[in-house]
Amino acid sequence: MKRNYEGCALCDATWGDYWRVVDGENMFFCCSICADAFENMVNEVKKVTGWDRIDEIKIEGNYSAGRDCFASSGNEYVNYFFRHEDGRITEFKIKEQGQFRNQPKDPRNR
Amino acid sequence: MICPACEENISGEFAELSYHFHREAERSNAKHVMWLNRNITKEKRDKEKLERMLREFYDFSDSGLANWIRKRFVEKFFSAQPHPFIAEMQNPSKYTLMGYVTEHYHFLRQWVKSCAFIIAKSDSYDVQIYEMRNISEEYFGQGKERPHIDLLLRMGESLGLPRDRVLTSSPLPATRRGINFWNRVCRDRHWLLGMVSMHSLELIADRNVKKYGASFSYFDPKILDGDATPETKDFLRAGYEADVYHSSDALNLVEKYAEELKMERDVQSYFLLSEDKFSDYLNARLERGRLYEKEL
Repeated sequence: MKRNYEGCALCDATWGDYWRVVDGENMFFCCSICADAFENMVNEVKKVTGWDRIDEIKIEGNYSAGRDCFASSGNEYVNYFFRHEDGRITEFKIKEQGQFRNQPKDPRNR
Repeated sequence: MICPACEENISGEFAELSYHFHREAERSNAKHVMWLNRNITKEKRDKEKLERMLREFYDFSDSGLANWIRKRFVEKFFSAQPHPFIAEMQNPSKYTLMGYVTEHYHFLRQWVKSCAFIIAKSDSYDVQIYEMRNISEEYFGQGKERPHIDLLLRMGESLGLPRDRVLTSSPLPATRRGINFWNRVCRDRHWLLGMVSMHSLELIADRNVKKYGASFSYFDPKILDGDATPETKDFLRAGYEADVYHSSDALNLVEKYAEELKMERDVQSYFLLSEDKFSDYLNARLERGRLYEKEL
């Protein structure tokens, strides 16, 4: 899964040393709460879209404000927002869902 | 020195606190890693650099302890990217206000207990008077003004939320965790730590926060002239008018006694612990609002 963070897969922090397999890939997290939040968010995306795998996830935001995200699988994409509390998803909203024509519709690429 | 993430009593000051954070971060302890991420830096630093950063973070030599608390509170809740509850309160939905009523009812029930613990544990006359006035306003009102708790419940009723429903509700988990924390601190710790843990939170409705760099106020004052219910305006106006002197008087007392009792560092750490619980509690108000929106 391609990601925009080199540190913790959820928050990009480089503290900690927590590893968990998510979607078949061993990923680095700063703590178990970030791992729970990321794993629950991935499961929510799959449930909502019906995808069986995710090719890419880009995350922007933080714990307090919530996170705006872009995910893609094959030629499909979704823009969404989520917030978590102690790793449990408390808010999840799809903002846009569609298929690529030429360029991915990640708003940060516009 | 008290750890601002876990409340452990660390013998020593910033070098020892840095060592403690490093050790816990190596264990990926969520409380400590999250605290560092949110307050100091997301980038891993060595112990010496972290010690310097912690020392700078706690430094209040510029403007005094009370202003340090105000500044930190403003950074957390009123920055350009404010706390989500503050963002929502600029134009609150009916459901957000209903969520506010239910969670805040539980908060207020704890509030008066905390004030009572402080009265019982302090021998300082000015502190006792301050806390007694506070309890009185919450439960009995002042002059012709209704008690705050009644203004809150009336706001809920005006929005279609029956009083009984609030009184028989259970707090959401984040509210429960906050209540348990404030109850424990006020019951078991020094009264000054209880005082800073509770009354620093009144900065949330302080109209003067813009003086300390806030990009927002608690709510858009236009609400008071808009089409909100009269009971909503009554409740918001009371808090708006009361909490200015509440938080200011309390922080002045905290500053005075922290210096006298040489407890500045512990006061700072308990303020930080408390504002984290408060942030989660404000999210619970939003969460309750979303539950009402789905249900009603």
